[in-house]
This record gives sequence, C-alpha cells and structure tokens, in this order.
Amino acid sequence: MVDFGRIQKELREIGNDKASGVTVEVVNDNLQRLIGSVPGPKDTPYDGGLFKVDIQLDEQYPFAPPKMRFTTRVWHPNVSSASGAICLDILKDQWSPALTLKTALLSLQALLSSPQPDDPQDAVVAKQYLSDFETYWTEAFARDSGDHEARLKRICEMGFARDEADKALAAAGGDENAALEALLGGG
Amino acid sequence: MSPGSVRMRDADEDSLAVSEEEEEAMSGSQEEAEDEDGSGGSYAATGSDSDPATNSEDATSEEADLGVLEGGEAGGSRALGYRVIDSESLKRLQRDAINDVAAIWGCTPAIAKTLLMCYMWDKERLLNDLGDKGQDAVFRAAGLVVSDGGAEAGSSQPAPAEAAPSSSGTITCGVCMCETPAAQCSTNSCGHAFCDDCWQGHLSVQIGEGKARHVVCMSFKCGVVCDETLVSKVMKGDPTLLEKYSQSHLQSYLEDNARVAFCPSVPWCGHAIEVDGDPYVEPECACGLAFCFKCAGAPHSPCTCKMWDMWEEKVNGDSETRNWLAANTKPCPKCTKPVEKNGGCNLVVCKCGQPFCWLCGQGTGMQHTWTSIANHSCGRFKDELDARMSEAARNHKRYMFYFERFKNHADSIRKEKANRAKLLARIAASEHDGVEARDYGWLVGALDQLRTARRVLCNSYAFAYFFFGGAMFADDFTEEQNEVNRNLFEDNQEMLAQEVERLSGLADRAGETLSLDSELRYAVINSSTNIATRITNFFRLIEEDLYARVTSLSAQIAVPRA
Repeated sequence: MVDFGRIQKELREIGNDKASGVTVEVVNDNLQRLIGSVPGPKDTPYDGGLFKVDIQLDEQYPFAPPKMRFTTRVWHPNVSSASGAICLDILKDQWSPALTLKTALLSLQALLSSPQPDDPQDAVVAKQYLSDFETYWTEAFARDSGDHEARLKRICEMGFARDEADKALAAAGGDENAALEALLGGG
Repeated sequence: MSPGSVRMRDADEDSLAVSEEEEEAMSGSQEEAEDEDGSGGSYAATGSDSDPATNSEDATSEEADLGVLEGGEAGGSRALGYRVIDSESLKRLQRDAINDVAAIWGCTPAIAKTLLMCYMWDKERLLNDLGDKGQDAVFRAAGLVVSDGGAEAGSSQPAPAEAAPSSSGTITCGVCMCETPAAQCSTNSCGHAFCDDCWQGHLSVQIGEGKARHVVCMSFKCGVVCDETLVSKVMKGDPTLLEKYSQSHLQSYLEDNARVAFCPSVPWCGHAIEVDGDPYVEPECACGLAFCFKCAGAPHSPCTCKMWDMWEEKVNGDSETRNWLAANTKPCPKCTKPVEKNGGCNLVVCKCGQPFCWLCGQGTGMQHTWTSIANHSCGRFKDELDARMSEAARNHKRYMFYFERFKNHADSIRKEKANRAKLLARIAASEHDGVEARDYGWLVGALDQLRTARRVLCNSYAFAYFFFGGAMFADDFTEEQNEVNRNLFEDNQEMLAQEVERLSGLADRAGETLSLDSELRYAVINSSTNIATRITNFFRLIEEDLYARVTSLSAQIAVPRA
C-alpha cells in the first residue's frame, strides 16, 4: 500500500519551503513518479546549474528508499556519467523512514559539494575528479545553453566530427542533450 | 602384504602400455574390481587363522583392552569434538548460549541474544570484547542502547524520549506525519516513538527483505535494534511475519555461526554439526554421512582440503577424456603433449616438430622407410627403456599407482559399509532371540574402527601422490629427504594396511557366525586396539615429521580420534 497521505504532505511542505531551493513536481498526476530538481551548490563547479532528478516511489515507500537518478548529466565521481545512477548511502542501506524527499534531495546537493572519490560510482570521473570537467558538464548540460554554434562547438570538443554533430543537433531540434544522447548511443 | 596388492604392484611395474590398458579396463568394468575385493576378503579371513600366537597373547590383556574400548565409546560424543544439531536441540543450544552470556555479563537474555547475533555466536570473542573494548563500544556496535544504568536499562525502562507523548496525549509520528493518540504508538528501547502502523510497515518491509536479525529503529542514524517486545506487540496482527522473525533468529544460530555447518547431504537430512572449537574435524552426521567440516567434501585426512580438491578434480574431473587420451595417444618425448596417430607408418611427427617412434615413444630422426627408422630399433627388449620414458609417462604412471590403491580401498569401504548395515540388522534381529545388543558392542566398535582406518588408508594414497614427488612440495624437500620421508611413510602405511586386512577378515568371520566365542572376540578387540595405535602413530608421523617441515603452506588436517 502506497502511503499517498504522506507523499502529499511532503509535497505540500516542499512547496511551502522556498528557502532550500529544491523542488519536486508531479508527473501525469502519478504520485509515484516525480521529478525533483537540485540547484548546484554555491562555490562548486556545479554552481549555476539546475540538476533534474527522476524519482520513483515504490509500494513500500517510505519504508523503502525512493529510487533517485539524475536525468541531467552530472560529472561527479559518485554519479554515473552514463545513466545518472547515484551512489549515496541514504538511498540504499542507510535509508530511514524518517527521512523525506526533501532531505534526500538536500543530501544530493551535499553530495555535489563533497564528492567521495574513494567510493566512486564512475571510475573514469573519479580519476579525472580534480580536472575541470565538472564545470564543463555544468556548462554543457545543466545551464540553459547558448546559440547553435556554441552547442555545436561543445559537441565537437567532446570528440565528435563537426558534420556528424550538426546532423545530430538538427535531428534533435537543437536540443544539445538529445543530440549527444543520439551520438553516444549510435557510437 | 596381501597377494592382491602384490599382484597389482607387479602389474604396475609393467610397461606404460599395460597400465593404460588397465585404466581402460577399470573405467569399463566395475565388476572386475568387485571380484578383486571378494578374493581379498576371503584371503584376509584365512590370513587371520595363521596368527594364533597373537590371538592367545591378546587374551592375557583382554580385560583392560575391553574396558578402555567401552569407556571410549561411552564418552564418545564429548571426545569427538562435535555434536549433531537437529531442530529440537537447536532451541536448547541457542538458549544455553544466550543464558551463559546473560549470566556471565549480568544482562537480560534479549540483550545477550542481540550481542551474540552480532558476534556470530562467538561467545569468547564477545566476552573478550566486552572486557577489552568496554560495554559501551560493544553495545553500540550491536545496536543496543548505551546507558549509565547498566545492561538492565535495555528493553524495559522508558528512556527520556524526544518524541514522548505530549500533554494532550498525542504524538506526531515522524514517518506518516500524523497526530496519533499515544495509546496507538510504541517506543523502542532507544526512546524513539512512532505510531504502530508505521512500525508495522517498517518491520514488515525489513523482515520481508530478510533483515529480521537486525531491524533498526526508524529514526535516522539511530541504529538501535528494535527490541523483541516492540516487535511482538506491533506485529501481532501478522503471525506469518512474526513467525518468520522468530525463525530467522533461531536459524541465526546455524547460519551465522562459524562453529556450525549444515550437513551437505542431498537431499538435506535437516541436521547441522557444531564443532567444539577446532574446525579441522571430520564429523559423521546423524544421517550417516561423514564429511570434512572445513570444506564439506568427503573426509580426506591426511590430505589437506586443497590436496583433496585437486585429487577429486584429477580423479573425476575429466576421467573420460583422460581414459581416451591414455588409450589412444602417446606423449611427445619433447613437449609431452598427447599425440594421436592418424595413419601412415610408425614414425610420428608431433606438432612441435619432434619425430618419434610410435612403438616405443622414443624420439628419433626423420630418416625412415615403411619398415624401419634410421639408427633406431625398438623391437629388442631394452632395460633402459623404462629410464628413458618421458616425464609425462612417468607422472602418469605415478598417478596410476596411487590411484589404483586409492580405488581399491575406496571399493572396500563401499563393500564394508554394506556388510556393516547387514550385520547391524542381524544384531538387531538377534535381540529377539534373547541375546542383548550390547553383547555385540565390541563388534560394532571394531567395524567403526575398521571404517576409520580404511578411510585413512584410502586417503593416504592421495596424500602420497601430492606429498612425495609432484610440484606441490617441490621446494620443501630435497630428493634424498623425500626418499627418506616416503620410506618412513610407506612403512607406517603398510603396518596399518596389514592390521586393517586382518581385522577385516576377523570381523567378517565374527559377523558371519555372530558367535560369542571369546577367542575370536578378543582377537577382534585386540586388532582394533592395534589399529587405533597405528593410526595414531601414522598421524604423528604425518603431522610431526612431514607437514611440520613444510614451509610453503600451513597444512592443517583433521586427526581421527582413537
């Protein structure tokens, strides 16, 4: 039995609290499929980005943890650069029913500001952790992107041929994320 | 030395071709091996007759021997170093362990149980840690409330709760976020209170996911285990899950306990074995299956678990393939790879480029005709042919030597097991005729001893295969040392084998007639005492003179208790 009462209370509370910056929206009136968003923490490479989180609540919520996954691409040692899967203890065995969606999202924000490269979800990212990739990815994916040329340039910088990138961008209607998805998926 | 084994030794010293044939025959016909056993048995019976001197000698010390043997049997279960657990004794053993700790540390049984589950039922380590690290650290790690008032404060006293009932008599449950009357809320030993519905939801999920042994409080980062009073109060509406919860706690004694192993019988007999301490034991389950406690394989002492693993793989792993290879190929004298002749003359060329003579396996030159190979003749018998046999063939021969002896004893074990079952049935039947079963205690004891000795003998050939020669201990012994060790070992092995065959014969004879003739009885008792001594000596040699000198690995084995 899903405890819709609790989910509705949580949504109301998050709606009333503008200070924290995190938000949760309902998709298609389905209280078990939500979209959260976390602003990138200040003074980090993620600053200025808005990171979307796909949230699935199963039947056992809040006694089982919510399933959370970044849908915005994040360059972070504890987040898979391919799937957005998050490695965070409170989303797994350290979950407590007394935690809420808001506290979980705030924990994600905390994770962005203090990565744990020793316990990586993405080994490649963990290796390059000290380089400036975070900024780059935040620029590319989390911020409202600039004109077509800038998007094209960014995709080419990732190692794709210019005409290929152009085609993919056109096919995706100018959506840089989708174009890159297509390129990565096709490659 | 029985004629049977003399004949086998002869066979083994024949050329490679013969041993190959033998291997083929062995895989082909089980009956042949059975026949050999039969003749071996009858021989042993006659052999014992030729030993009247020993028999009468035995008679003088019979009373003492008898006393020792029976005394040993009576105290058996304690001296064995293990006990069989069934569903009945499980509850008792677990309760005893819990009460022990509760009595020593002065805590409630519930707390003792949580501590023991956290410490994998290792009482000594738990008590040591309680002493060394202090109660607070151990309790915290186990998910118990750390309080100043001592262990008793655990489950019963209501701690000063952060979510204590407000004056209006309601609690805001931190999970469903509802105002709930205090009567419908419960508090865990840590003092955190939530409504019963939420507790039930939490416990259902945790128990359902198989975490019944460590369900912690719902409060974030609290970590205190939900006490059993709370669980039984909240879960009373769901007897199925409550039963699962208590079963899981009961099973914890078996599953989490390093001193307990399940009997590996298939289908499972429902028993488990608990050892007293040393895991190097080869217990016999109540279902009759004996196994190595450490690796759950067949009893294999004096082989180590690793040796046994390798031996089993060698014997069973690819026997079909190996039989075919042995029968149809010859090892290349240069690269030792098996070579199959696919036609043509007797000069065969290996893939590595080495030509050799198919008839004798010796390396040759390429010059040849259909009828002869240049500068090579092997039609004439040569003494040194054996010496020139390639390394591969030598190893194979060595393996076959040990394997045949191993298999002979393994077959004897099977045969004697069947005889034993028949005999026990007949003894049970004879009870009705007025002779009490305990009158045959000496015979049953002798059969037990015989079985142990057979197993030791059988496995000692696998041990010898790995220990003397072969790569496993190549760095530990020089060739001369190896030779000395092997001779010592074989002397002991032979002495044990002789006595085993003698007892086998005596036991057969005693079993056939079921007579209570005292001379035969003393002979049997004496022989089994002899065997016990020889096994002890054999193992002393293996442990103190052989394994003790091995530096490349720490070899620990089970030693049969006399």
